[in-house]
Amino acid sequence: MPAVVAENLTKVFVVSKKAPGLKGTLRHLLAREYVHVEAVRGVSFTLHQGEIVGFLGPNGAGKTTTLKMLAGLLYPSAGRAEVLGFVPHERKRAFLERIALVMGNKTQLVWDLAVWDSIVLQAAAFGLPDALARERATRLARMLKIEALLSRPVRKLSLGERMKAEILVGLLHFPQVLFLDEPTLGLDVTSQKAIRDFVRAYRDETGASVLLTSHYMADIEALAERVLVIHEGRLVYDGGLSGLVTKAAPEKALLLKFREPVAKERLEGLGKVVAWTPLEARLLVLRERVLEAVSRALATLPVRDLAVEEPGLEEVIRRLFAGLQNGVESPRHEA
Amino acid sequence: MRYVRLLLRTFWVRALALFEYRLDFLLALLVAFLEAGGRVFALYGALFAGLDLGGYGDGEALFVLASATLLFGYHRGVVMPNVVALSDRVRLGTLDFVLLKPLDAQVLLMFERFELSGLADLLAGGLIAAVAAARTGLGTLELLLYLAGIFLAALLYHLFAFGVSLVSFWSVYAQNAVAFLAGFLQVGSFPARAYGPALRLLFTWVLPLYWLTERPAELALGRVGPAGLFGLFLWLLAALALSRGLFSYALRGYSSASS
Repeated sequence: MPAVVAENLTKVFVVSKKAPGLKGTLRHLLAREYVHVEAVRGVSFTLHQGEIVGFLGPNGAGKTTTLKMLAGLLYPSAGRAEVLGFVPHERKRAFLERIALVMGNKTQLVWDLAVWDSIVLQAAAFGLPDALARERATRLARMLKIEALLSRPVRKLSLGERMKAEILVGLLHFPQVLFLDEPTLGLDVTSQKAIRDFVRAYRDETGASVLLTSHYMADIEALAERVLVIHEGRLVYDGGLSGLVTKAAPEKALLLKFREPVAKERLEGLGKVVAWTPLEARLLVLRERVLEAVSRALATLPVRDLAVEEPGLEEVIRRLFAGLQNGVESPRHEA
Repeated sequence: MRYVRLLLRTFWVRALALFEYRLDFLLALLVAFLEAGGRVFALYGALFAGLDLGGYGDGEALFVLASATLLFGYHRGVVMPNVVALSDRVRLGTLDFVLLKPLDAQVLLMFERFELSGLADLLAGGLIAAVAAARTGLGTLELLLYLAGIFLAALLYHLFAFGVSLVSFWSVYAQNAVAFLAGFLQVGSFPARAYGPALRLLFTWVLPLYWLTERPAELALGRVGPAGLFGLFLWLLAALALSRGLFSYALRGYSSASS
């Protein structure tokens, strides 16, 4: 049985429209106009037990809204969600004891007190005996490398330390499904890596399923075996990371350095020239023609050095969303 | 049991947080005692000014005043801090954390906060009740009935305030609305019958002021027997059903502040 099922999940927010200035304010007061904003439109996917899936999309694409519907915080306007066999918005106790939503931009820690005090409250809320809570907190703190910070007031922690403490408290009940919304937001690279390592270790130890949103492609590349891409509320891709790269960026970059000056015309036929000087050039070559292009370059040009580059995931996503903005149809599922 | 453990721990953790800022805490306590002292002085002044209290004698009316003061202490110490917290949680989106707990969200939202400043009013209310008990010769059964009546009245008031505070889901004026509700407690410092027949009907069947302050006094004075708790209990059930229905409706429209 899949851990998470979303079927045509839809969320529509009704928001009032307000024009700027006095006229707009008066109109807003006397004859308010409402618009329906479709934050999520018919999103369908499944998440299997033990799977880590990356959820990508630009700001306002509907990632967080989807996560909140799956965590039971928001009522779907249409469609169906099922998490571990439960209907999320019914918020049954057994459901809430098995899931966690950790948000990178919100904290549930008690600001003025030590992290331990927040642990104590969380343990009481989840009905964990003191000894078990202490054992779990110690274990999670060791994995997150924050054992020494548990008795420090939350307000005296750095952003990265606080996020680790947030994760510790959020996962104290050892959930089977984790919804992580931007858990590395604003953190330095060391803290980002520590959290990535933790998420992987937690999954390996507990077999939990993880749905992760992040703006940092390094998070997705390091953790996700599969990615979902959402754009303007619609799911535009569901598949492997490599499939996304292949389909959204069908070309590789061919970098050539020459022993002696080469005219630009001599490069025609190898690929699309995107940068050129007499002693070096950068070309975009269709993936299936890379070998042929390399062979021809070596045979016909005074090549001193040569490299073939995959576009970075950031670049792939940028191209994908640029294509979507321009109305270009994107790959829906991995072939 | 889980609720009791959580509420006790919440109480303890919040108390620790209050003590964290020692000066703030001491000042809050000082202000609360000064205000409570002033209120007690005003209450005695009103009582001995010879106002017609609808047939209630001095000692008897003191019970009504004690009820109102105790409820005001509860309002200040428990109701208002939770109303403010709910309003903040809706505005900032941290209501999410309450909704993610495997416990009844309404219970958590009604009891997660407290302020020590309410303690001073509770002490003042207790003092007035003690004076009233001494004047009227209160028996043990009447004392127990009075305490039960005050307990139910406090819950009834809290449920009403919680229902009003749900305005937070649509408006930023929830705190003002609940503060307005607290203003009625001042009206309830005197027996409902002192306000004449029309207002008495209003304060009995529309705004349940009679049930909040006068009914506990009637229980203490033996004017109604233990069955007198039944009416309060029915109001409580109605308020509970109404507040849960409203909360469920509010959650359906909850948008959770965007991240």
